[in-house]
Amino acid sequence: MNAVTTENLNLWFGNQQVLNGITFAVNKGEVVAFLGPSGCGKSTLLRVLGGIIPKITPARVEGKVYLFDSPLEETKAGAIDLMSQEGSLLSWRTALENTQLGMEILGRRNHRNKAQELLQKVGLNGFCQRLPRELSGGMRQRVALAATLITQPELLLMDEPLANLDSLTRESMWQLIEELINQNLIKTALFVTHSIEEAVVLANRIFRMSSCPCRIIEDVPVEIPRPRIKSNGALDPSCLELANYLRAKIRGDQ
Amino acid sequence: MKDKRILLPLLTALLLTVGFEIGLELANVSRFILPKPSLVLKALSENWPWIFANLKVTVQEAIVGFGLSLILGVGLALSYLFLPQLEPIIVPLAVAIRNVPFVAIAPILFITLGYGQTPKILIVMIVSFFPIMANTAAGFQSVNKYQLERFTVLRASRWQLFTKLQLPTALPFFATGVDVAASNIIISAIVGELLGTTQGLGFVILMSVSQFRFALLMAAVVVTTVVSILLTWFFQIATRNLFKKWL
Ligand SMILES: Nc1ncnc2c1ncn2[C@@H]1O[C@H](COP(=O)(O)OP(=O)(O)OP(=O)(O)O)[C@@H](O)[C@H]1O
Ligand SMILES: [Mg+2]
Repeated sequence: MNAVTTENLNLWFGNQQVLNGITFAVNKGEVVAFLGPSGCGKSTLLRVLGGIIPKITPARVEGKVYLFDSPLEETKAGAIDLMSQEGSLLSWRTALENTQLGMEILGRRNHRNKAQELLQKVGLNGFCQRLPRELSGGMRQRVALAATLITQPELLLMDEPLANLDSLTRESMWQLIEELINQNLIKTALFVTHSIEEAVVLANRIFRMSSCPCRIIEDVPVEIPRPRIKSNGALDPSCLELANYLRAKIRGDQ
Repeated sequence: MKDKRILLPLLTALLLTVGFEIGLELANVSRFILPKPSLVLKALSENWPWIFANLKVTVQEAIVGFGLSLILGVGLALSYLFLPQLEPIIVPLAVAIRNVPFVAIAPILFITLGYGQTPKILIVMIVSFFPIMANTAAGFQSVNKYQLERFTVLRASRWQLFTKLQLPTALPFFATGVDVAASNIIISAIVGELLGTTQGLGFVILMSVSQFRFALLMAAVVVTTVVSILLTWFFQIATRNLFKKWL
């Protein structure tokens, strides 16, 4: 079954075309990275898939989006969740309360234990009662991740989720995300990143995007077995190889 | 730390009082121009029952007007949060009302509402509802973009969006509005009284001026200032404590 399908998706903000015939199909269970120049329309694409555009951000959208083979508008609440690079935690809620938010919104019960469990899973045991401002940037993104997992969304959208972290923290997050993928806690996921290594380490497929108006110019499968990060923190050599290959290609585009 | 914040201003006030006392004595300033603090204190203690009775009237006007302005300000902000089509009607109207020179329309107020407390309460309301409305509304608009987007993706209902995101986001803004508004309520009530009344601190001021009792006038001024500061403080501390979690 396809988790996400788009057919000839075009999008304009006023006169500016931002998406240009985006067509792709992502299978259930795949993790896809969008890699492309700044301002090309990656966030815009994610926002369309999340139903944010055109609902709260006006834009002219043409083309079709299907989630699990039904039109986007018909998918049930809770099927999708979104993680951004910052600020998605509510400052007045503790880590635990932030983790529970999605369940409250969906009107589901019995979420306290589950939230605790997830916070433990992302390595934040003992930080449940902390407010976001009492956590480091990396810890906040761990909470944000736990918060998106609690409702077990079929599709997880992540817009540069690790962009604000230092490189060591980011690599520890790669390890965590790989574990969550292996445990099937992260099911189908689409994420945007500017880091070629991140795309190579986390994704099963990488969509290389053109500059604005954005098209998919290459669909690169990543068939490197997991875990791609060794227990000593080193990346699998094939990851580095693929990253170098992609880097050369992206240079060539410019 | 906290003691210092209270102690230092008190000490400053004391030093100023003593300084004025000595300064005015040495410079031999007429008590009809600027009465010495000791004379002011004497006038205050001699007339305290009368001042206090009038103080109660003014404070009552200030607090009732303030309470009503909370209801009105928050009510208006809420009404155009939920019915955005009302915003272009409410906001310009509120701005207009806020800027009406009530000194000029005072006669109308007094003819229609009498010389009692009602027109003063109305004036307090006119002055204080606006910062509360404007700040609360700005708070509703300040919702974090990423949070709003996540709520949208999760298909939060309008009510969930309000209770779980917009309202908590707006609370610190509302608290600021309360601060601004509260610091003006006593002054507004007194201005209302100066325009026509038979009671309140404004009346005390009017009487002492017309009878050339400048020590009494200064006593009223001191009482006004102190009460205004205390009330502002009270509301500041009350909102700070009430909304601690969200600030
Ligand atoms: N709400 C909006 N209204 C008008 N134009 C917009 C809006 N959002 C994005 N754009 C425009 O669409 C284009 C793509 O923006 P988008 O944020 O999707 O890029 P991006 O690929 O995510 O960039 P980055 O990598 O820097 O995050 C940009 O030219 C931007 O100016
Ligand atoms: Mg972006």
